[in-house]
Formats: sequence, structure tokens, C-alpha cells
Amino acid sequence: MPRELHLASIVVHARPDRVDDVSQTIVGMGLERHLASPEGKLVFTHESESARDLGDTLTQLQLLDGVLAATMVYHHCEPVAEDAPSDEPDRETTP
Amino acid sequence: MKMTRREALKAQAVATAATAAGIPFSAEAQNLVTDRDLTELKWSKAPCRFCGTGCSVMVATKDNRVVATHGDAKAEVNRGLNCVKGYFLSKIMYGRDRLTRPLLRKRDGVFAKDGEFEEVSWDEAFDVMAERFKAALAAKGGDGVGMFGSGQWTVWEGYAASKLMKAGFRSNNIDPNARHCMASAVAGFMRTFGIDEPMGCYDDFEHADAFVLWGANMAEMHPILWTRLTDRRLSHPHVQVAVLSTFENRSFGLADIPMVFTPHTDLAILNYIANHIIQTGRVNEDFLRDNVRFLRGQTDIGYGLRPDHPLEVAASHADAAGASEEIDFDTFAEFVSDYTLDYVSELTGVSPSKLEALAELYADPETKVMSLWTMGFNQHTRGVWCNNLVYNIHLLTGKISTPGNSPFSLTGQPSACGTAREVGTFAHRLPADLVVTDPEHRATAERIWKLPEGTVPEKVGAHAVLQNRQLKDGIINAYWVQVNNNMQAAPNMMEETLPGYRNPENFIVVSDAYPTVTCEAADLILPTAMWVEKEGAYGNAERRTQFWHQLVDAPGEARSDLWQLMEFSKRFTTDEVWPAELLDANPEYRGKTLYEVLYENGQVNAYPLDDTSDDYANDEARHFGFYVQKGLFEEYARFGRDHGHDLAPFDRYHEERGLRWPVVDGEETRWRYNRDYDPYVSEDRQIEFYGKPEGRANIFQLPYEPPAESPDDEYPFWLSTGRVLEHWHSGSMTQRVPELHKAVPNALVYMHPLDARELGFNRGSEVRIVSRRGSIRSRVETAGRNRVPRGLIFVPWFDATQLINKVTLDATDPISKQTDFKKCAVRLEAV
Repeated sequence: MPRELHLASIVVHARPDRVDDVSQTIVGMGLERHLASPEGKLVFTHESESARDLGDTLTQLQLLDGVLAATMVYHHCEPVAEDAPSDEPDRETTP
Repeated sequence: MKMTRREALKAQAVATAATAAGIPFSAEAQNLVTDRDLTELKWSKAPCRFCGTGCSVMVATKDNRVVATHGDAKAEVNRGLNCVKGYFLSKIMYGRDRLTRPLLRKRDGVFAKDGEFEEVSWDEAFDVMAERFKAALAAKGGDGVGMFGSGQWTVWEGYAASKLMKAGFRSNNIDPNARHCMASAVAGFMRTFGIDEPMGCYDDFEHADAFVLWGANMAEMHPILWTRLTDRRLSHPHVQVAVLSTFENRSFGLADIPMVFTPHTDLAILNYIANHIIQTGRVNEDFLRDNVRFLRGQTDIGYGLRPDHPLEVAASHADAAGASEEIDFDTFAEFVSDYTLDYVSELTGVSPSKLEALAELYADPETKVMSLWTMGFNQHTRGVWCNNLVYNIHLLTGKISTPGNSPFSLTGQPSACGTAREVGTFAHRLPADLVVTDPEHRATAERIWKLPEGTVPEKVGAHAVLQNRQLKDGIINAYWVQVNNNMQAAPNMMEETLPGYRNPENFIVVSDAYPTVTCEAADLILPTAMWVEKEGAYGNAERRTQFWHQLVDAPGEARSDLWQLMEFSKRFTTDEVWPAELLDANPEYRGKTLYEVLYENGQVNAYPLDDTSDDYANDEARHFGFYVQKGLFEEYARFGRDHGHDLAPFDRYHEERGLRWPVVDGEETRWRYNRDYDPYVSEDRQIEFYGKPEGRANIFQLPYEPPAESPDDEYPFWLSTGRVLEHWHSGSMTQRVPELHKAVPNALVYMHPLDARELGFNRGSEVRIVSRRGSIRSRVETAGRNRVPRGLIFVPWFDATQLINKVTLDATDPISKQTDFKKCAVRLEAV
């Protein structure tokens, strides 16, 4: 099966009193934490090579204790060139 | 600063999420649009295709392929969020088993019912199909053909299908799968208000002081609306949430008033609340005097089974289930006074304190209440009653049609409202709430459609469950299923559905994008273009109509349902399918194709190809030579304009994130029946339920009556079915069942640990679930978030690997004809 890159950002709404442990659990699942608000909203990114992995992660997140809602916002999906090592950038840009 | 492409993508993902979550983020992130590769993406809006919420998503395409999606920040519905189901949007069209050629069962080069599927051309497919439809029409007229559609049809697909069936083939045997999910809600609206669909809108989420979930597990099934509800609850501490269900689900996590009740007893809870409002003197008398009348509804109405079923024979009013007679307030008050706290607590198994707390949410004049429901009410042999009774308690208190006071029927499919209901693709309906049984309504349809008087038949067609029965009985012989998997969705599959599809007298056509169990049971499979492979329109649960453009091409020879319907109509002439007396009286219609009389009528083909967008493809317009979608929409809109269902001009919807009808003088309507918001309300009224005489809504006197089947010694468990979150996410739309008859026990039955122990099961034990109708195998789950009470099991419905509809009962609501998938009696056996 051709390799794919799936990159998604996810907003997790945690119970305000549970933000720290929820956040820790999610980071432990391999997601990257980017932002947090005082109301308990957290922004994570998730990278994987299969839609299935992303779907399963979203399910797990939504069912975590202390999580009120987990909603995906952005999802990018593209084939990865077979000869491209997955950790190396395809090319560089200067924003 | 140097940034890798992946970092740039990630930063854009974070920036989009921050906007949606309302979290400030650095300006650096906003500069990312300069990334050359990202700017090569073409971003366009489209409503999500997965549920009735109607979220708008931004869809990025590159090289004719969808590569990214994100929640649309400009959309009022989802405000930048894109629910967990949405992750599938980028993938939905690219499954490896996508259908790209018509497939016909053949043996020795010709069609054979017992043959194997072989690829054929569209011409051959339509030749064989037309031959079978013509034979059925010649033998039986409209009664011999049928169509089963969907709340996932676009507005114009449903409209084109309805026209082809009701006017072209002169058959009302067309029904949508929305019959399985929305029919009770529709009948509830029509009985109480005379106009379908909620009076309020999603803005109510930000105004209510209390939310009552009547069976709806919004945390899993309507995540975006749940987010809005959660935000309201957490930012306003006075807000209360009551969650009612027959088992504990994920939504209980936020519940201030959690309530697990015995199946079917919601009827009694609703009457108790009405009684509580009256007994505590909190009836809004001014509101009742001006806006309400009281009716006693027919009782003992049976269970919508076959007429020879003992339960139907025993029911005294199965033949007039929808009847009613006028009563007064005192009669109603006396009737509900039987529903005392003690009686209802005993019947429901809910503590008196919880029932009282719930009733107070409705009774307290200072509390604005939003009631929310979906399948728990609707898939119920008294589903219409449930809908009527919840309106009762909003009407008794006048808590309706004002911001935050909102009885709100949620929907499951993206266009259950916009297409199935508004277009009227039901066996008894026409567009804009018109019905086939009313001669004036038929005349209106014939006038708008420019067809002769008498074209649309008066006879109500076969509804979803009846279609399956009539297929089995060989009454319907040519049958077309579009956009849904009814073999899996319909009840009592082994006794009714499958025998009907495989009946040698019948020819079954299934249009789908992927092979499903329904496709496997068909004789001809037509490959279908889906979602953004065509221009489309959906209507969501809050009356919001939304459009999208075709963004990519469909694969192979896949064609949209719209193309299929219109192209197929070219193969029939009026002389072949209309009766001689109709043509004798209207000779100018002789010798024309159905395509000419239905779609080349000077209206549907009124807009030239040039009117289509320069920026987007439109395969149907290019094929037929005119702007098909616009012509169909504008003709359809004639039904509702100036009749309370006004839609805006076609082109405007391509600019907007949807508009809530009625759209009058360019303005959408958020709260209907309220003069402050709704231009249809008379000047001398504040509230006017203008769908009913004198602008009065109906409060119905209706009792608790027992379900069609309850647990007994032989079948001691309640079986309830429904969705679970995983089915949205685990690829169930692309995983296919290899064989229909093979039950693969990898799904779960949720049961109470003590019940499991008594039967000698462990978590993970393989068991057989047996009803009077059939059995399936499954595995025991005693943990997890779906915590069922003793005596009840819950089996996920939307799972092709365990077809629970081999077990379910095809009892329906006698008024709405909607199936009760939520309760029947079963036993469990070790495997």
C-alpha cells in the first residue's frame, strides 16, 4: 500500500480541573501539544501514515476520561514519495 | 526563518485550530499562506456529507484530488471545527474498492438473476433495466415499480427522482431511508404544527438555561452541537443538563440530571411532566388561550406489523391510527392527572427526585429549555406520540419559538430535512409539505410541473418497510435503490428484505459508490459519483440550505444519481407508461420521452450552460447542455415561495454558508412563528402557528401504551440498537462484507456484568443473540462507556460485520411507519 502522510490538528476541550493530566495523557499518546486556553481548550497536532491511525486516535481522545469534546479542525492527506525518508523534509521554503 | 514544508503544514493546521478554539496565536503562523506549495491548493466550501448537523468544511484540491479539509471558520454551525467524523472526508472518495463500472448479473452473456456480476456499459445496463421497468409498468402500472432513496440525496437529485416516479412513472412507491430515522418527527410536526421542521435553530444553544437530551447521545453522535452545548454549560454555571436514555452513554458525563429509564416509558415521563406543570400552577394561560387547542388522539393503534399479525388483529384502531377529536383543557388536565410521580417512578424505574428535578426544568417559568432528540423518540412504535407529547410540555408553558426555548428534533443524515422532507420524497408527500392525497396539492404539483391534470396519482405509495414486504410478495417487481444500504438498515432482514431482493420475479438496481450488502443482493449495480464529484445542495436540521460546487471528477464511469435518473428517463415515452385516457385528453403529450416532459419543459432547462461557474466543472450541465441543478432548484422553489418555505435565488447559496428558510426579502428566519423574527406571523399576533387553523398548535392527549414486544421467560432481555462512535472512525464506510450470510463476531454486545456472570459469560465471550426472527453472533462487552442496566443489551447497528437486523422486529409506528429499532426481546446463548 502506498505510504501517506496524514497531518491533523485537533482541539480538545478538557474539564478545566483536568487540563494537566488530560494534556499529559495525550502527549503520552504521541501527539504534539501547541496551545492551551484557560477554559480548558487544547490544540494538538497528530501525524501518521494511515487514516485508520488518525481515526483510532480521534476515537480514543473523545473517550478519554476528563475530555468533554475532541474535534478535528484541519486534516491534510497526501501520498509520500516512495523514496522519501519519512522524517526528512520534502523541500524547504522561506515564509 | 527557514521552515520545512511539513512544519509549514503543521503551523497552518495549528493556526486554523487556534482560530476555531478562540485561542490567540502568534502572527508568525499567519504568514504561512506565502508557502508556495500551500498556495497551490484550491480551497472551496462544502457541507460535510456525514450527518444532519450541516457543518461547513473547507476542502482543498490539487491535481483533481481532495488533499486537505478543515472546519470552515465562516460557518455559523461549526465555527471552524470539523468533527471527528470529518477526518474521513479527505479519504471518502478514494477507497480501493470504489465502483467505476456498471455491474450486471449475467450467465452466458445475458442477464440472469442467479448469474455473476460482470462489467457492462451504461447502455447495456440501462437497456436491461428499462426492459424490466417497462414490463412491470405494463403489467401493473405504477404499483409494479418502486424506488428507495435517501437523506443523502442532494436536493435536486431527490427532486428529479420524485418527479420521475410520481409524475413520470405515475407511482408514489418512492420513499427515503429517512423513513427509518425521521418519519415520526415529520408526523409529529405535521400533527402539532401543520408544518414540518423545527421552529428554532442552533442559536438556541447559546440562549438556553437547560438542555434535556431525550435519548440522544449527542457527545458521540452530534459532536459539534455537543461542543456548543458544553461551552454553554461550562461558561454559565446556572445551566443544567438532563440526559435520559435506556442505558448510560458518553453524554452522561456532563449530566446534572442523569436518568436511565425502562424502554418505552418515556411516554409516561412526558405525561408526568405535563401533570406536574398543571398541578404546580405553572401553565402559561395567556399563551394557551391565544395559541393552542386540545385534541384527544386515537389510542390502541397497533404496531404497524403485517395485518394478520396477532398484535394487529387485537388492536381496535389500527386502521385509523392518526385520528383525533377536540377536547378542552380540563379534560386534558384530568387525563394526565393519572401520571403521578409515584406511578411514573414505578413504571420507569427512575427515582422520584430525579423525575421532579426534570419536570421543574420545564415548569419553572424562568428556565429556558431546549429539548433534543433523535432516534430514541423517532424509532419507537409510539414515536409520533413522543414527538407530540414533548411539544405538549413546551406549549403548556409557552416555552417555544423564542431564543433558548426550543423543542429541537435533531437529524441523522445530511439532507434528511433538505431533500427527504422538504422535497417530499416520501410515499405520501410532494414538495413543501404537500401530500398526494389532497386533490388541490396534486393540482399544484401538476401546474408547477406543467403536466396534465391527473398525472400524479392519489394513492399513497408503499413506505420503506412496506416496499420490502411488497418485494417479497412479488407486488413490486422493478426496484431502484440509491444512496443507501437498506439491506443492512432495514429491520427483520432475513424474513423480509433479502427474500424480496432475491425474489426471481423482481429486478433490483442499486446505485452506490462502494459495494455494500445491498449491492450484493442486487441484480444491477450502478457506479455513483459522490459528494464533491458533483454540484450539490443539502438542507440541515435547522432549515439551513447549503450548496457546493463540483470540485473533482468522479472516477471511471461513475455518474451522479442525478445523471442516472435523467438519462434513464430518456428511455421511456409517455405512450409506453401513461394510460390512454390521460393521453387522449392531452394529446400534446403523446410521443414524448419522459425526459422531455419532466426535464426539458422550459423550466428545468431554462438556464444555459453559460450560467455555470467558470471556476468549477459541472458534469451534468455539460452532458445535458443546460444548468441542470439551477433549473431543477428554481422549479422546485416555486412550491415553497410565498407558502412559508421560501428559498433564496439559486445563485445566492453558492455565496453563503447556507441560509435558514423561509428566506423572505433576502433575510433568513431563525425563530419561526414569532413575530419578532418571522415575517409570516400576522401583525396582530406575537406568536402564530400558521400551519394550523386559527394559528393554533395542537396539544395531544395520548397515553402510555406498552411496546410491541417485551422481555418474557423465553426471551428475557431487551435489545436496543444504535450507533457507537467507532463506526464513524474505523473505516466502516470502506470495509466491506465478503459474504452476507457469514456472521463475523468481531463486534460487541454491551451487557451488565451481573447478567453476564449469571449466564456464565466473561468479557469477550462469544455469544449468540436470538430473537423470534433470527440470530447473530457477537462478543460480550461488560465494560466501557455504554453501561447498560440489568435486563438490557445494546448492539451497535451500523456494523456490516454483525447484521443485527436479522434479529430486530419490523414493528413500526402506525402513524409514521417508522421502524422501532430500539426494543425487542432476545435471549443469549453461549457459542
